[in-house]
Amino acid sequence: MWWLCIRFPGLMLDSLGLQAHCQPSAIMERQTVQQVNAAAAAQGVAGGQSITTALSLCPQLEAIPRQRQAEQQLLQQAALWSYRFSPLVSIDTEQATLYTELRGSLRLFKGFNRLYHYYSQAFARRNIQFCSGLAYTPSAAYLLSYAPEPPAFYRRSAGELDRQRILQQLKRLPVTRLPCKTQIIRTLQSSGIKQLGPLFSLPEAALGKRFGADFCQLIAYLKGTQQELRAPYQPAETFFSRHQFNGTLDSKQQLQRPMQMLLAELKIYLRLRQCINHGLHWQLYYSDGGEDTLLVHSSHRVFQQRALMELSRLKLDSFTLRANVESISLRCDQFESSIASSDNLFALVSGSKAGTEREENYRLVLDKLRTRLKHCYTLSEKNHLLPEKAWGAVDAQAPRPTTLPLSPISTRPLWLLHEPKAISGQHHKLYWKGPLQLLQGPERIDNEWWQRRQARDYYVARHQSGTLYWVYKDQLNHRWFVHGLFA
Amino acid sequence: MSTGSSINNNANNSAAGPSRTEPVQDATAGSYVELHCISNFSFLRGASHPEELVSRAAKLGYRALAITDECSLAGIVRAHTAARACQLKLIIGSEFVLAEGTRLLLLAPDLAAYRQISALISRARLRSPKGQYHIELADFLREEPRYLTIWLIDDNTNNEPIAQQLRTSFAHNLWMGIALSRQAGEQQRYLRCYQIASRYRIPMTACGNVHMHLATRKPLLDVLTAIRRNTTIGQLGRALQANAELHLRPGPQLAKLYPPALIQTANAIAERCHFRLDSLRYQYPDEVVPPGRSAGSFLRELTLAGAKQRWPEGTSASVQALLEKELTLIAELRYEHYFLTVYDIVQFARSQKILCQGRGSAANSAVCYCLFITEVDPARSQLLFERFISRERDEPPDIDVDFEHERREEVIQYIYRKYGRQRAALAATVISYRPRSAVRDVGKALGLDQSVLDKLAKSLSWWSKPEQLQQLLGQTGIAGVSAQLFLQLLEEILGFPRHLSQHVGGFIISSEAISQLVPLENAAMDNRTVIQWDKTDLESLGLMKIDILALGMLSAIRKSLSYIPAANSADNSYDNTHDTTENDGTEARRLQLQDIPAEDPATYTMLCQADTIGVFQIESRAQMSMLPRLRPQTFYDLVIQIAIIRPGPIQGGMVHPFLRRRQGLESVNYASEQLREVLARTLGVPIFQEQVIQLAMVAAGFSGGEADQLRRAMASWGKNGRLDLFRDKLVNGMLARGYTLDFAERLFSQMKGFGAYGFPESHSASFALLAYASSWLKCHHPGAFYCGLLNSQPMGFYAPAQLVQDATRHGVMVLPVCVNNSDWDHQLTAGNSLRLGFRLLKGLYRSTAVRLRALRADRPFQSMADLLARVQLDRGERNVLVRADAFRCFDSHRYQSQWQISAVEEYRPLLATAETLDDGIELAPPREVDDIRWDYSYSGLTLRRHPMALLRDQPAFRRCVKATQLSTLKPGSLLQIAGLVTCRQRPGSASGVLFITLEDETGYANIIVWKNRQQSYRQAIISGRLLLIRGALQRSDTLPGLSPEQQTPVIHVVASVIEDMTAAMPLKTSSHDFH
Repeated sequence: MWWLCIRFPGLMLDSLGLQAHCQPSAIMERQTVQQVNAAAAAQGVAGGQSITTALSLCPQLEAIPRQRQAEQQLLQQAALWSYRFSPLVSIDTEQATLYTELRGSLRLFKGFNRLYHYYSQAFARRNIQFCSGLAYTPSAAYLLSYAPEPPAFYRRSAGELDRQRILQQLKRLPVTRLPCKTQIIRTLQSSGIKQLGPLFSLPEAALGKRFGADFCQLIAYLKGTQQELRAPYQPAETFFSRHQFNGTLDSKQQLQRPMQMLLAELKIYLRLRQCINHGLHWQLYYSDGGEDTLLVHSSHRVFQQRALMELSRLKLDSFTLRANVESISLRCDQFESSIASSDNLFALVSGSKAGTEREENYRLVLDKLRTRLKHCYTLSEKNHLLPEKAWGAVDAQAPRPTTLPLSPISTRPLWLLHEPKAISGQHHKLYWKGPLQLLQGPERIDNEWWQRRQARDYYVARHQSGTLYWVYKDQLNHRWFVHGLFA
Repeated sequence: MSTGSSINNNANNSAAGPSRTEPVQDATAGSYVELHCISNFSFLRGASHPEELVSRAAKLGYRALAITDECSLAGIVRAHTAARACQLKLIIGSEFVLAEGTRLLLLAPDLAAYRQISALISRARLRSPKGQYHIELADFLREEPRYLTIWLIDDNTNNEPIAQQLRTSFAHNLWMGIALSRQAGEQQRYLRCYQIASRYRIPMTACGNVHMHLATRKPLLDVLTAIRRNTTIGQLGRALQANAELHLRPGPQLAKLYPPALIQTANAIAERCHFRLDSLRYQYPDEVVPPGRSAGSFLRELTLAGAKQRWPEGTSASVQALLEKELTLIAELRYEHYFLTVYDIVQFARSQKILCQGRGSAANSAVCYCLFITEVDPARSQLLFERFISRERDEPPDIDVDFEHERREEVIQYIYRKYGRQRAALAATVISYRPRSAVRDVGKALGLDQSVLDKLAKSLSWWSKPEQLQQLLGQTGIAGVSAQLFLQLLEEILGFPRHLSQHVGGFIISSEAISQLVPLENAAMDNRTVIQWDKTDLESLGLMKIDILALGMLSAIRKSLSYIPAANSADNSYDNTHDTTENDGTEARRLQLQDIPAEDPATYTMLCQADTIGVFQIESRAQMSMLPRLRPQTFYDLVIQIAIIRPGPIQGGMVHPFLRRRQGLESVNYASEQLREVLARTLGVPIFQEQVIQLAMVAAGFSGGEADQLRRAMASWGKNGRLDLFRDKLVNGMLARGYTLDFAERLFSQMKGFGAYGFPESHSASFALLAYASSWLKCHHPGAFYCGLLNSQPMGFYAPAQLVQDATRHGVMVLPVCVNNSDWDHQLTAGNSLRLGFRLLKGLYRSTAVRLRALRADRPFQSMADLLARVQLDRGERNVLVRADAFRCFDSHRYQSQWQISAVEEYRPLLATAETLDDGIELAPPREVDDIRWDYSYSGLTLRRHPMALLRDQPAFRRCVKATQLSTLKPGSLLQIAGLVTCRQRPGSASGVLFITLEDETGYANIIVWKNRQQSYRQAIISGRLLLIRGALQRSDTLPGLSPEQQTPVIHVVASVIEDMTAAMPLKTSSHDFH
């Protein structure tokens, strides 16, 4: 077997798109630096340092908590992508690696060089750092990803793997690279065994006695005396893929190509899981840190990339980009089995291709209409002290807020003016379409000091017509306003 | 209730918005009393210091102010001190939220009520974990309430049954507190309260629910709420205060707001409160006095008996007079019980062979010396008893006693055993907001990003200062109004109390239950309780306390002495193979502290050469560089040496004048004969706190009390501007007495420099005793000295690796850890060699070491298999031993031992046989460099060659000089030197200069890095463990009047280039990195 190992040494940074960031950045876990980008490394920040040391070296360092979920997603994406070349794909999150068996695909893809070219191009295009190794087992390929030679080095001209070369390279590697318990590595090191060469020369029985059967098996995988099987890659329960751009995009037109690419990934995912999605959840990530979500409803029964793209485009048309977009992601988390839906479909339209198309077109039109419809809102009480913010519009479909502290609405009118209206005072009297008489108050509000301070004294005032108004005096500019009417 | 009827009327009424220029009322205008006011000692609720509240209330002309923190009296002493200063009537009380949900406010009209409130708080707090409390209505009904109760009614519950219950429980001492703060629906709420009050005949009173002294604290109040609720201000919604009315409002404004009857009732309640905090007194326990004896006569008897022991040949007339003076004053001020209690504790320690010594101002007392509490001989020193106790100051004595750090807990447990937890408790330490915690909490409340806050908070470390915060804020993109707001809130919150912690050792012991004096609460540590007052509070109230402190050097000295045979002992071998902490009778033959001869010339010669690694107090880089210049020849020189290398005298510019005068380079002139008396002993330069006090008295005409206030102001200079208040008085007083303005100004600036960092002479003398004792040990018994020091780690300035290097340089043969020879402790064996003990190895338990020793007692272990068959060790312990190379006695190198031992099966370790271990594989031995690296990794030090000795052959190091060669080079020579970093310091008193100490195989090199070089080599300075320095040699001038042999010049290398060479030999070394 020809196992290609792709190892992602910068996975923590790459999964967050920070590798090429010009701002010095470091991924932190348990107060310790895990990975740093080039800008941070240039200032002496390195893995293993404490955050205090790192910040002392580079005060402008951006310390970002490690996000394992993002790493897992990147690996999943890579596995999904790799699936197009081979049915034997495996990932290892701990080692940040992707394994693909390529022997069976060599003929289809016209040789190893061309196949490997696809890999190197794909990761380079996405600015993802990677190292690769090629060997007869995944473990050996993994260790060779640390060796300086490219994968092609381990190939004979006859199209076979060169076992001698592989072993020679492995023997030069330090034992610290072994994917095994730290305790074993420490024991080996404190016994003076620093490279795989001396380790390979020790009898299996002596190793087994000390480090157990698993370790002996690992050595056998490395030597190639035993076949190694890895748990095959299983697509995740949820589809999520994010596309990070080189720089930023500023037009909706430019977004269409990455959207197409993400839909193509979804297509492979759905084929693997033999299911069909309900809706698309697009997320736009702006360069200023903001985000926007576009929900595209779809009720299709057969995956049609073109139709989904059209729906997404429609959604995009009615939407304004708030800033330059750094990346876009697509998430789908509701599926149904495509086999089951096909059965239903056959039952509905007696299995004819034309019928299926008609049905799908009909659904597409419905989806388009829904995509064009605006939201419905209801009014709801909000947890806020300022009267104008204490009520607000809430999406009719959104869950209603849980209990709020009781609002002292007894002295507040239910009808607030859209904007407070300034009122005038004449001869020490207040006039608003006639004289007003203050009856009760003040209720004093002094808040929002952290943005635009609001200091108001509210009163209940009676109009000569008998209408009760809610008026306030702005304590900052000493002007009077009418803000509401009592029923 | 007042409602607006005209614009003017209302406009005037509503003028109290948050403005920084609120009108201060004429003192006669208001007759308001505030009965409900919480300070920032209701942690994260109150937004003003007690002092701020008191001073504002006084300015507004309030008749009285109650401080009523929630289940706490922690802030009342500060409020009391402030109220005394501005002559405001302070009412003491506390607010409680009962388990049933009811809120009550208790006020203390008299001492009995105060005691009840204090006991209630203690009960509520002691039931709950630190920081919480639990109290039910039933707790209030255990005894007839003497306090006044105000019900803080909550409008959202069914109040009828509560009203009924409270009315029955508190009868005529119950009121209903009404707070009007212009909230929505307040009028309706008032009416509902009025109905209940009428129905149950509960009088209503005005009760402001004050949370801050000024309306401008509203932002901080909101921030505190957000911190308390662990959210951001933006998320608080209606949990925010709607307005800023919960501040101390002017009386006329309140008169318009409240019905007059409510204000009158509040006044009437205040009238009933007569309790003053300074009426509190407490008595130290009686049991220290034998039955039938008076405390005075017993103290006299003990003192005189002690004097006989101290001076077997009789006391001098001056000492007798001193004792008489002190005993008379102690009797007059009735402090006998206090002295006897401290004596009892010290006696206990001595009976247990726990070394202890009093320090601080107590060392000024001859009585303390006779009671063996302190060790500074009044016959040999010039003591200032007034610094300790003075009639005029009427302030209780404060005795600090250091105990061996490893055995202090025994003393604490003795106190608890003897007096019970009811009567003995630790003082609290108020943990306050510091820049870093303030940045984190305020930033989080303002909704700043966590990573930004991490960055800001972490940046405030090492050599960054809080003042750089604004600049740092700018770097993180926070600017403009947000930055201003953030900075303003930080400034306000800095110093705000956050929680109470336990003081390092300040005990109060009382003859009655302490909970009736001051509330007790649980500390974070199990089985520890603390009182709600800290050291300053106790001082302000004039309450006595004793500091039970821990000092590592006392452990070290006691241990070192116990290894040395006394001169008259039959056994003259060094030995610590017995555990001397156990009373097995061996100590009688060993040296005692008092056996150390005074004024030993050899010891002083050693000190003049700055050979003081490991010596108490004078082992730091700064002290070591001063020793050859100051050249101590007597004990008093040592007292000066310790006091002068302190930030105070350094910043006050006292060091160089003193040195010049001592070296005879500058003449000593005194502006007057009086000044000569004060300053002659320190060559005209004020070095001790006492001298500054005396100077103020003799040169500027300060009274004793004023001089003491000056001392206190000096101690807190920088925190407030109190010292400046004394400036005019000092300068004018000196001018009036004929001193020049220049001289007066210079003296004042020296006082400012002194700040909090000057030592009292007595304190310095106590420390000098330990410095001398440890120096003598190092000079004459280096093996015992290092053995004691290493057995007391962690302590002191240097890590074991550096101490062992120094021991070796002093001819001590240090032997490695060995399974057949080592014990838990390091041992001194025959021939003055020091065998390292298992305590050096991380991951090995003491019990394992004891088992190893017991099992080899009959027959040493023959082989690794023999050891493993006889001692059950888990894998971790086996690895620790093997990696520390403790099996070398079996002629097996580290790699082979590790290979063999790793064959032991975890679940059958006892079945390890020679065959199991040896499978015929022979591994190559480690190279020396690898062995050294393993040594550092697993035992923190190496006994092999110094790493630098190995590196000398490498091209990068070939041109480096050795540390000992520096003395042969001329000043200004350009050189390269390399070594392991043992210390990095950037003292505040050195205006940004960084000091690095490098160690090589010959000794130490002192490196100076000027500010302009630090930025260029920041990375190497911060993280380098092995540095190569290129620079120029700097050497101090030769001292006049000394032979060339006596000269020990101080040599520095001024760095111009710093290279991090750690990669040449990555070692796990440690260094001391101080500010």
